[in-house]
Amino acid sequence: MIKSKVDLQTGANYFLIIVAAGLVITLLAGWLASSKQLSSTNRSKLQQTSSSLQSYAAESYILARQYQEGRTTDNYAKISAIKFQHAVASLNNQLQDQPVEHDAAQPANEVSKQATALQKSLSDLSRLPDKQKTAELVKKIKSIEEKIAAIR
Amino acid sequence: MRKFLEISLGLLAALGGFVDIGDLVFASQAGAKFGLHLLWVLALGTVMIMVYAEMSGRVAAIAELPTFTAIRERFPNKLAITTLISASLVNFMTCAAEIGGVALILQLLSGLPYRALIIAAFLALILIIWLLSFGAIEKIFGYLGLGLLVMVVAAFKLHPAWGSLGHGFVPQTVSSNFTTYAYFAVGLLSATLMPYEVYFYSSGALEENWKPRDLTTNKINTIAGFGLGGLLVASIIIVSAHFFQGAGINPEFLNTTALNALIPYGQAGLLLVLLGMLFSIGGSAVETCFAGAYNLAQYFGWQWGISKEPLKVKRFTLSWLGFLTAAFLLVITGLDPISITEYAVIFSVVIMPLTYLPILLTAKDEKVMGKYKNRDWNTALAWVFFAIIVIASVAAVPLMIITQRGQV
Repeated sequence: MIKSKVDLQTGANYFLIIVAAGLVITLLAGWLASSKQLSSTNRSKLQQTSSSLQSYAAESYILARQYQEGRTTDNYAKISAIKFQHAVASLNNQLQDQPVEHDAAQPANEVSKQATALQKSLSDLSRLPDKQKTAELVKKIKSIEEKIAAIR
Repeated sequence: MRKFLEISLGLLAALGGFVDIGDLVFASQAGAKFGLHLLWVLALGTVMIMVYAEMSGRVAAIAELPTFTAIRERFPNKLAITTLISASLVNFMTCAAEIGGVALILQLLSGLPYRALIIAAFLALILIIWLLSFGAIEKIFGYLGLGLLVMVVAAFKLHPAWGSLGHGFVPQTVSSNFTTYAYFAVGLLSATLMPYEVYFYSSGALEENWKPRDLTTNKINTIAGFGLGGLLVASIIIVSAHFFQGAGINPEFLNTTALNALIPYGQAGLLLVLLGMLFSIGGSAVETCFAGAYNLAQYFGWQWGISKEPLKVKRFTLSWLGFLTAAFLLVITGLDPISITEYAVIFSVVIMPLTYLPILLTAKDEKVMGKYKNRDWNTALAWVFFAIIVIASVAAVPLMIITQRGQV
């Protein structure tokens, strides 16, 4: 056992450095990832945003359909709609707060418009509407999803 | 038959270990982004954890050495204390994420406010740990977590193309988006090999007073328990690939993962999967706070054990209470539990070699293990797996930066 300790002694400092570096870099990565969100919106950034938004719209559509068919519990539908609504709002706020590069201005505006519409639909869904209203919401969310896909 | 019924330790270690909040979302994302192309990584990780958990259980049963005692004995002091600090950090972060995860599931079930449910989850965990025996805890969380089996049923009922499924288990790369694929590969591997699984498993073996006669139970636990954990995660990948990949969905929330059971089975599927998630995530919370306390006690040589009267092992009791309380305080600030666990998973890859090397060195040491030491093939396999762990640990952080945590 002592022999193993001696064998490992030389590698110990390298391990220490690697672990410490790993921790620092992980923290830095988190900081970098969050600071990137403050940069201006260009075409590529907009592509990422609209991709996330389309994902939320597709999830919301499935949720609304399942609720319409009476296949979810009320609590699940309500909480899920609220979570998607917050996520969409957060994306939309980022989009509105950041400066937009000239060539991305028009599509960014359109994406933001669809995000606002999706937020409103999810807010309505979270109030657990009746069957007729839910059917309208399902159609509306599907249409938003298609419009976002068209922008992309 | 009795031996097969004794797999609750392996079940809890596996369910709590790699079906926790991060993995549930991570596996869904892997399926949604890359279809079945990452199944081979999961299969590899499952075999790796089986091999290392079996060794850690055997070392505990034969030499009565839990993993952290082996780390303390094998490593120079500086390295051992670094391992202790790093492991404690990962345990603390993961425990915080799991408490948040329990509250999220309770919110989906009850509709009550999230922060109130964090407090409820924290108090419930303290009561459960304080009042129940180790055996009762492992059975409650291990067996009730099996509600997740609804995912396995869903995966079979979808009638996947068996050819594509088989192909998913063959090591491969993808032609586009390779760095993100590599990030998910490393993440999945890391999630299956989270070090707290072996800290908990080996200490649990001592809690249950394993002796050489329990080596068969050890093998069954590692193969059946971790095998089942692997099967559950594979099912999530398969079902997510089916429902989400074509729809352009990138699941970021637990409620989206639950859609995998809701879509085919409606409310019954939803309730089953939410209960399964509740107990597997709750199991992870218990496992991580225990692992943190076990590590401290084993490093400093304190008396430890959940089976013992809490007041007779005061420092150990204070340790798990401390981990749970610190984790509660972190998550009640409103930090997103899924983001916390993603950092914990990636950082755990960096410290993985420090956990798995002492297990291997001890298990192959004839002086410690006598006739129960590793066979040559076992040692060779473990070295190959150790090399993979080292490669993953070097690649993890750069991949995290390049892919902005898999978002690119």
